[in-house]
Amino acid sequence: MNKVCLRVNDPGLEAYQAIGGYQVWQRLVSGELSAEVVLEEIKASKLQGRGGAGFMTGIKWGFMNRDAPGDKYLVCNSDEGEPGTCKDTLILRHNPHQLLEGILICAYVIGAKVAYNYLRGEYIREFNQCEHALAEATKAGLVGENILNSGISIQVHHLLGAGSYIVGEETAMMESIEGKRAMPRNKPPFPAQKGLWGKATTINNTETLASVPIIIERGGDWFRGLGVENSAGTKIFCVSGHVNKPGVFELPMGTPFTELLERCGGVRYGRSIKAVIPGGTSMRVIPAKHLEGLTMDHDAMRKVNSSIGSGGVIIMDDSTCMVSALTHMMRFYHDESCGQCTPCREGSGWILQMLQRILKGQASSGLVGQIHDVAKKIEGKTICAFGEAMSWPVTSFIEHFYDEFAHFAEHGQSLVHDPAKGFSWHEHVNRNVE
Amino acid sequence: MSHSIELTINERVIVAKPGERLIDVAQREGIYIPRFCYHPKLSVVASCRMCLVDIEGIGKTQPACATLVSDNMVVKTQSHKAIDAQKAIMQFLLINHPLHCPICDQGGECELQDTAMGYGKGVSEYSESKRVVADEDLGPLVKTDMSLCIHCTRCVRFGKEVAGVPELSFIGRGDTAGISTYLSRGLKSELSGNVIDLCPVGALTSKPFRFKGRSWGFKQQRGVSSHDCIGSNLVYHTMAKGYENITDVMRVVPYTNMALNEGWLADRDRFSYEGLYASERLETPLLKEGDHWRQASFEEVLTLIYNRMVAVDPEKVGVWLSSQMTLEEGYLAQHVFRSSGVENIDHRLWMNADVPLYQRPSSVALGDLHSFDTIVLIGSNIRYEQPILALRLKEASEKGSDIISIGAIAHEYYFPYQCHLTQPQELAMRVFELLHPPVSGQGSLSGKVLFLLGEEALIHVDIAQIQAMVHHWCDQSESEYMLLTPGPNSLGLAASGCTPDYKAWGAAKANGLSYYRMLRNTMDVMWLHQVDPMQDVSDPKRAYQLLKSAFTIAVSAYDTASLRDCADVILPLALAPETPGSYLNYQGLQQKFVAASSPRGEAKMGWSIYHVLGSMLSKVVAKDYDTLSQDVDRAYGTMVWPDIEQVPVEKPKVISAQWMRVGLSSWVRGDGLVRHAAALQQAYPIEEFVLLAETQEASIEGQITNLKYSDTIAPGTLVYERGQVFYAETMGPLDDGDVS
Repeated sequence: MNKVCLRVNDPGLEAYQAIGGYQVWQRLVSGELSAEVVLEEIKASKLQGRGGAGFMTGIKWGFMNRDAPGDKYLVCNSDEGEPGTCKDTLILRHNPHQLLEGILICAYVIGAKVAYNYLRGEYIREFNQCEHALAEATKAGLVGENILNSGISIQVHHLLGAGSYIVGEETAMMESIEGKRAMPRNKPPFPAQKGLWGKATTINNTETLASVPIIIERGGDWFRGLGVENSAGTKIFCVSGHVNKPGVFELPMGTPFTELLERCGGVRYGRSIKAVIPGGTSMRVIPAKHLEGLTMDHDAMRKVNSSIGSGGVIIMDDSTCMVSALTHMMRFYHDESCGQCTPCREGSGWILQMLQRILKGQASSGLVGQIHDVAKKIEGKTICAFGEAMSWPVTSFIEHFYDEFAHFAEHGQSLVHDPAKGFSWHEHVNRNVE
Repeated sequence: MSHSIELTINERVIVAKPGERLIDVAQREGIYIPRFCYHPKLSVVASCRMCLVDIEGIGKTQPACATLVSDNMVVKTQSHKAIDAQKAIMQFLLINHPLHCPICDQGGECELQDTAMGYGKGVSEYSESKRVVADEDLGPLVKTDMSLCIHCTRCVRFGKEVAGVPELSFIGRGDTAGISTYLSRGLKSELSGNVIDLCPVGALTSKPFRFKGRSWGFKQQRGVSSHDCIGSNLVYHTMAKGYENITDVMRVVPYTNMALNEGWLADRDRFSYEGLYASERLETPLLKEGDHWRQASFEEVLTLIYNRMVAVDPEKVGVWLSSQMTLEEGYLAQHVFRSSGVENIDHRLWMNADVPLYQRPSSVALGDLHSFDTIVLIGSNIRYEQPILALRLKEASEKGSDIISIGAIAHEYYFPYQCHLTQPQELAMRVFELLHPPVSGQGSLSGKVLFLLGEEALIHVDIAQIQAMVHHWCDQSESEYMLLTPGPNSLGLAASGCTPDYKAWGAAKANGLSYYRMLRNTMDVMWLHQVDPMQDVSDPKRAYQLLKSAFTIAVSAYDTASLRDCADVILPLALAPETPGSYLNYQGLQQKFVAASSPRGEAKMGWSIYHVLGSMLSKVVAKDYDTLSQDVDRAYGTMVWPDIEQVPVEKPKVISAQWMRVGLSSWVRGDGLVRHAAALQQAYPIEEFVLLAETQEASIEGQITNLKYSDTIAPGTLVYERGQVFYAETMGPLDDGDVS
C-alpha cells in the first residue's frame, strides 16, 4: 500500500528521517531544487485541497507571487471541526514532521517568512506533539533563522483555537489569528490578495500540506497515478457510524465504496445500509440505492450529487431515524453559527425549532416542505460556505427521505422506530445483546 | 484613477469610477438597493445580506455593498434571483423581530419597516417562538429594546471606527448573539447619541424622546448647533401643541453637511433641546422690590429700564453678552448701546486679561485637516470642547498627520498624540520654545502646521502673546491657526461689534472697557444678555461683587438663583430654536436659521427686546426683523476684517501666580440651555467629577472639568468646574492673590 500522509507511526524526528524525511527540504534550501520546480510538481500532481472544497493546490499556490514585495503568510488549517472527520489528528499526532516539512516547503514556494499552524482547541495533545516536533526541527536547524546556513528564515508558530467550528473557515481563521472573533470575511478579496493582516496569504489543509514532501520526492506523476482521473493521490477516509470497525484509512482515490466498507468490517449486526454521508455532515447524504458501484472520488461523488468533502464517511444502517439524525446535526449547526450574517443566524434556529417540533409530534406534514424551503433560502446567501454546509444536509435528507419526514410529522412517530411498523432501535439492540 | 468604466444596472448603462461600491453607484443613479448594515461612513461588513443582487457570470447573488464596480459588469437588482434573495433575507430578519410596530418608538421611521413594505411577505410563515433578549441600561440618553435588534452592527462599528470609543460590542454567537456593552456600564462617549440615528430599527432609541411623538407628526426645521464654533447642522423636529399655535421642539437630529458635521452630532447638540422646557424657564419679566421678587409686565419693566438708561452716565454702563447670541441680536444690541453712548460691551466673558483678541475667520476646511503635517493643540480639550472637530482630527491622524498637544492636562483622546505636559504658568513660554527650539533644528515643527487654540489658551493671562507668537509664525510659513472659541457665535459677535476692540463690521476702533476691566471698575448699570454670573463668566466672585453693587438688568431664558442674587430686573428671553438668526462658525460661514418653535410664555426674541429698547431711546433701528437681517447680511457681506496689529514677539516669562485656571465649565455646563437639559445632566453628573477629584486629591486639589481617571495633570494646576459645588464645598472662596 502506498501511503502518503500516514507513512510513519512515530512522531520523532529520527523515525521520519529514517524514511527520507526532510530530504526535499534540504534540497530546496541548498538550492538543488528550485521553488518553480516544486510548484510545477505540485501542479502536475493535481493535488486537490483536502479540507473539503477540493480546490487545486497548485493553482492556489500559483496565486502567490513569491518575488512580490511585502510580507506573505502561510496558514495551515488544522481546525478539524467537520463532524465525522478525524484525519488531521492522526497526522498531527503520529507524523508531525512530515506536516512541518510540507509547511516549510509551501512557505518557501509562496515566499512566506512566517507560517501558522492553527489547531482546534481540543487538540491540546496534538498541539504538544507538534510543539515538540517543532523544537526538534529547530534544534536540527531545519526551521527558524538561517536554515541550514542557507540564509533562508522561516518561522512556524502553532496556535490553539478556542473551540469554535467556524474558525475552520479560512477567513475566520485569519481573523482569529489576528486576535479577533472568528467571523468569516467577505470574499473577494480572497486570501491570496488580502489575507492575514491584509497581506497575501495561502491557507491549506493539514492533509494537503502533509502530502507535499512525498509528492516532491517521488514526483507529481507518481502521486497522480495513485488515484483516478480528476482525483489524484490518496485520501484519508474516517469511517464512523454503524460499522463493526470504525476507523481511519488512507486509500487511493477511486477506491470502491464496498472495499472501504469491507475494511470496516461491514455494517454492524449484519444490517443493511440506509444512507451514507461521504464527507462530513456538511455534504449531501447518499441514499443506499445510489451506493451501487460507487467509488470514492470526486467524479463519482458528483454523479450522486454529493462530494468527497473532508473524507468523514458516516454510515447509517436501516435502524436510523433520519429525522432525529438530521435534528442532531442541526443542533450542531445552530450552536456553531457565528451569528454574523442573517440567513445563517436566523435560519439555523428556525430549522432546528421546526425539526424539534416534528420530533415532539407537534407538526403536520406541511412543515417538511417548509423546512426544505427555509434551507433553500439559506443556501448561497451567506458570507461563508457555512450556509451551504447547513443547507445541504437538510435539503438532501428531505429530498431522499421525504416519506420518513412526512410520516413523522403526520403521525408524531418515527417510521423506523414505530413498533407497529417494524422495530424499535432500542429493542433491537437489547435483542442483539442477549 | 481618472478613467471611468461602464457597467449595466437593470439594463441601464452607467458610468462609474473604478473602486466605487456598487450600492453607491446604484443609489446615485436612483436605483435603490435595500440595505441595513451598510452605512457610507462605516466599514463594510456585508452581514445583513439585504443588498444581494444578481451579477451576470457569478453563480451566487452578491452583496452590492461589498462589491466594487468593474468594467462591463452586468447587474440586475430586480431579477427573480435577486428579488428571491432579498425576500428570503427579509423573511429571516423578520422571523425573530417583534411585530409591534404600532407601539414601537421607531415606527414610521424604521428602515426594517420600510423595507418590509417592499420585500416582506404579508403573512408570516414563522410559527415558532420568537427570540427575546434582555435589555441593557445604556444610561439616560439611549434606550435599548434588544429584542428588536437585527445585528447590523452599525453601532458597534460607529464606536470602533468613528467615535474611537468601542463601547458596544457583538457578543455571543448564532441566534443568541447580541449587542452589549459587556460591562453594563452605559455609554459615556460624547457622541453616543449617534447610535440612535444609526440603528435601522427601534433597538436603540432616544430615551428623553421615548414615546413623545411620532415621526410623521413632526415638522422639520433646519437649525444650527448652538454650543460650539463648528456650527453643526441639525434638524429640529417640532410639533404643534393644542390650539394655541404653540410649537415645541420634540427632538433634534443631525443634518448631513459633509463640510461640517458629516452626519454626526455631539450629545450636547442632540439632547440640549430639553433645556427649552425646563421648569426654570423664565416666562414673565421679574422685578426686584426690596428683597422680594415679583412678576411684572413688559411695559412696567421697560419703563423702569428706560428711566435708568436715560438718567445714567453711559460710561458707567456695562454690557455683557453671551456668545450664544445670534449675529442679528448682537449687531442690534451693540448698535442700540453704542448709539446711546455706551461703549463698554464685551461677550468674551472667559478672558483673564485686558488684551485684544483677534478673532478672524479661518480658511481651513474641516475636510482638509489631513493636509497639515502637524496639528498642534494649544491648551485644548478638543474632544469635549469641539467634539465634531475632534472626529476630524482622528481622521487626519489616521491619514498621517502628527498631533501634538501642549497644555496642563494630558487628556484621553482616541487618536495617538504627543503630549507636552506643561504647567499653566509656563504655557506661553513652552509655546515659544515649541516654535523656536532652543537648539535650532531640534524638535522644531516642520511642514504645514495647524495650531488650534483651545480654552486653556483662551482663558490664559498670556493669550495675547500666545496668539501673537502663533500668528507671527504662521505668517512666515504656509501654516494656519484657529481660535476655538466657546459658544456658537463668538466670531459673529466679534464681527458685529460686541467686543471692546472694534465697532461693528470692523469699521473703527472702539474704546470701551473690556470685561476684564469692567470687573475691576464700578458700574452704575450692568446689562446681561443670557449670562449667568455664577456659571458663564471666568471670575464669578468679582462678577458677583460688581453686579450686586450696580443696577443689573438681565435678559435671560432661565430664572436662576444666582441671577436673583445679583440682578434687579430679569427679562424673559427666547433661545436659539425659538428665534430666527444666523451664526458665524469658525470659518466665518454665516449659517442662517428660522425660528423652529414658539418661545415659552411671554419670553421675547432677543432682537425684539433691543428693537423696543432702541425705539424707546429714539435710536434708528431697522423696522422689522427682515430689514435687520438684510442689513446684517449686506454689512457682513462687504465686511473687511481689520488687520491684526503685530506685537513684537519676545520670549514670554513664567507667571508667578500659584494657581492658574485651565478650563471653563464642563462641556455639558457651558451655557444655560445645556445646564437645564435634564437627561444630559443626568448622563454627565457633577458628582462624578467630584468623586474624581477626591481620588486624585493629592495632585490636583479642587474640582475637575471633563477629566477621566487616565488623564494626567501637571502639578500646580487648578482644575475646576464653575458652579456651586466648587465654591461651596470643595475649595471655599478663592484668595484673590492666588488666582489670576
